[in-house]
Amino acid sequence: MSEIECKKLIIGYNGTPLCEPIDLIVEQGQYLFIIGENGSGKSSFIKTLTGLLPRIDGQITYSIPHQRLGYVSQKHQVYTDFPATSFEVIQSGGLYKLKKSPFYKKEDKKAVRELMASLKISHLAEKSFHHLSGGQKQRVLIARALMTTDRLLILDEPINGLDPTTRREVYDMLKELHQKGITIIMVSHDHEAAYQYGTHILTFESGKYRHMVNENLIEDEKEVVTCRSN
Amino acid sequence: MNQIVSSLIEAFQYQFIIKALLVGSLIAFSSSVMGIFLVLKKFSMIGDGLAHVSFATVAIALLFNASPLIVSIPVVILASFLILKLNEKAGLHGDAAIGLVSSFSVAFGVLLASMSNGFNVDLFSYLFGSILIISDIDLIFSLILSIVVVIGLLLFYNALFAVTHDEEFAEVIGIDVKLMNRVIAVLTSITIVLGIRVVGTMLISSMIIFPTVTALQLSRSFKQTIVIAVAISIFCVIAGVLASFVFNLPSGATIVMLNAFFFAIFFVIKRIGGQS
Repeated sequence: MSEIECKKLIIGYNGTPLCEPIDLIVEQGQYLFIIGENGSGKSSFIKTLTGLLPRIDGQITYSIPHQRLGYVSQKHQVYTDFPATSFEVIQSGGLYKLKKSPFYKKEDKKAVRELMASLKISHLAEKSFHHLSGGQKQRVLIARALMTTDRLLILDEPINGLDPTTRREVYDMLKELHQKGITIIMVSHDHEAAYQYGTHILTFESGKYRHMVNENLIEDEKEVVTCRSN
Repeated sequence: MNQIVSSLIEAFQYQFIIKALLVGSLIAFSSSVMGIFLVLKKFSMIGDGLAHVSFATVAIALLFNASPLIVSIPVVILASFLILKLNEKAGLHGDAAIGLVSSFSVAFGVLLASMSNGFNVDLFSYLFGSILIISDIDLIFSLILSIVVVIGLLLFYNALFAVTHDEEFAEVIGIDVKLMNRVIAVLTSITIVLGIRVVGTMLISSMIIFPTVTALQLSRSFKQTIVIAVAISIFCVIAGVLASFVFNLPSGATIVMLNAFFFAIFFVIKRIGGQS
């Protein structure tokens, strides 16, 4: 089953395309790394997927309402000195549950606690977001995205600015989520990690894109992944 | 000391003091809560810009003998939309946009004032606040508008939280970020126009900025930030009004000085706490 399907999708700013038309299907359970130079279109692609950037032309079909995508924005977009506890930050991911009521219900708060326990970050609940380390902040933001979705995470350069050990922790967390069946789409500069963890790799380069199955990974993990690329 | 206590007791026998305390507390509540969103969104200068706009609208109202509250609210709301719009456009930097609107407004206000009778007592009282001479109509308006601000905040609290923390994430999960910025702009405009009665157009931005910045020194959670900011703000207004009566000081300036005093204390506590 496909989570996201792009047909002749043209991405870019102010009507100027950044890349040739993109035809791409992201199937359920894939771990797609998007790599490429700065300005090649990888971040624009993800912003178009999430609806932050209007598409120039083409079609995107989602398996879920696009407001239910679990999005982790780039670090500099997030207010890192924000005076809120991790619990409050994660809870804000469940905003769609509120509907007409202005307050969260007991079961909404319980869902936050359960999610934090499953991600082993319960100890951070009452800690102020701006006192967390870079890696802890990233885990809290991933948890917030998981309040919105239980199937599709989209991350924009989540490991930027993190030291190697912390990067490892974030990758491990994502790997665990992927093993639980969550589809992951991630923009990254980290080519090594792309080939280590990704089931699929999408590369943007000089106005062209290439979508491929990560053969190494399939060989290593004996995983069968169906892929329909252009 | 006895004299101070007896004049404090005397203060509560005057209806104008009770009115000032009531209106002042309502406005302290609204301005401190709005301040949290404005400061965290790095919009605090919008508060300052709108205060300058309200100077011009008060001058217009006084020239035509109209109620400054009624004239100011719609014009200040429009100005806040204009500032937001200029802020969103890439051509002008946000702070420069606010500078343009506020200096234009002050110049316009001064010209209007000179066309009438120059700076008369009325205009002066709006420049620096005159909470001790609040009319019944002002009282009713302040009550209604404070309730509007409180309801607005309750309805949009969670969406405002999300938009303030991470605008991109909020937009992806379907929150109308532009609408929320406009909600902030409208509620801020109302708060500012109400606040000019308390501390005046020159000092109202301090009622928006000080309580939040003070609370941020010690708070750990968002709720705590709100509680501390509101508590400090209301305390400063009540203490300021009473002190200005007892010691015969200008009320607006006294309220702002108390806010500054609290900020200094919290700032020092944070630094000492951080070192130990």
